[in-house]
Amino acid sequence: MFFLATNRDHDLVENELPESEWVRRAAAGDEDAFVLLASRYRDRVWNTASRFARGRAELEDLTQDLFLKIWKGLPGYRDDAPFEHWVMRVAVRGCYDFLRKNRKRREREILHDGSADHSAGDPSSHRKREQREAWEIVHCLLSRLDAKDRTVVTLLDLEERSVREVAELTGWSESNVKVRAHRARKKMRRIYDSLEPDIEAS
Amino acid sequence: MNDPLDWDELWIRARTSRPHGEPRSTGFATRLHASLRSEDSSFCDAIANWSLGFSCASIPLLVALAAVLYVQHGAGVPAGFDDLVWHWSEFLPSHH
Repeated sequence: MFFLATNRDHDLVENELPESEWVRRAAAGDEDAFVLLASRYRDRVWNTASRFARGRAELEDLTQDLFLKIWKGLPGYRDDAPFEHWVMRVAVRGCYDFLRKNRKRREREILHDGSADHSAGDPSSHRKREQREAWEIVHCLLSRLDAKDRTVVTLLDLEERSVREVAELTGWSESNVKVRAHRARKKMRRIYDSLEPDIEAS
Repeated sequence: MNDPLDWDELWIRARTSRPHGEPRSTGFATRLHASLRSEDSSFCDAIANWSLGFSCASIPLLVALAAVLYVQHGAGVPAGFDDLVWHWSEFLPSHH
């Protein structure tokens, strides 16, 4: 009874307080406030990170790491930009760092690598299978790019963000983003064309 | 050459794919709390790492200091060094 009442009170407080108050508390070291904020942004961070991770286990680790980065960076957050923008900026830069650290391993990735997690997809669904196959091809193409190019293409072409947004999230100039995207797309297309017989065979 | 999958279609499908599914609906808060706690406890690890780094960084300085002393005093032991050793050896426990 007491537990239920406590939960209800907590929900009331959660709804009453503005987000900025939770941010302020989290920045001051309140773990509960931070976990509440993290729960709100979990899906957005998860979706972005899922474009960079190879399997579900890796994605879960990456998501946790990103939230730890956000936690550590919170004292430096200035509310001159919406909190969501700041969270996504930290997350995207964390994903970029993740790519850089795992560069050597990713260079060894091959098309349809066996480590991919197939359990998440429903094998009976033709549409899901098509999406899954497309994802694996794109993931393979992306793995041939360097970390910066891959980050740019992922955000532009998979996350469907604008050049301006990508520039803000990464901290790179808009012209840099455009040039990288153009070069990376050309390179990916070239690789895709050379892979066509393999894809057809598979 | 036949196009097995149209380039644009490839990206549309990849975009709509959720290759790793949705996040688990339970346990997120618990795992995050645990991660935050392990981050706190790693403060000691940070001190230990800093200490190790400091020690390693000191080695070249000690070597340089030894070289300077060697050059200043020639091949011999610096004057007063043996007195210093005797002085401190008196504090060692004796078996007598």
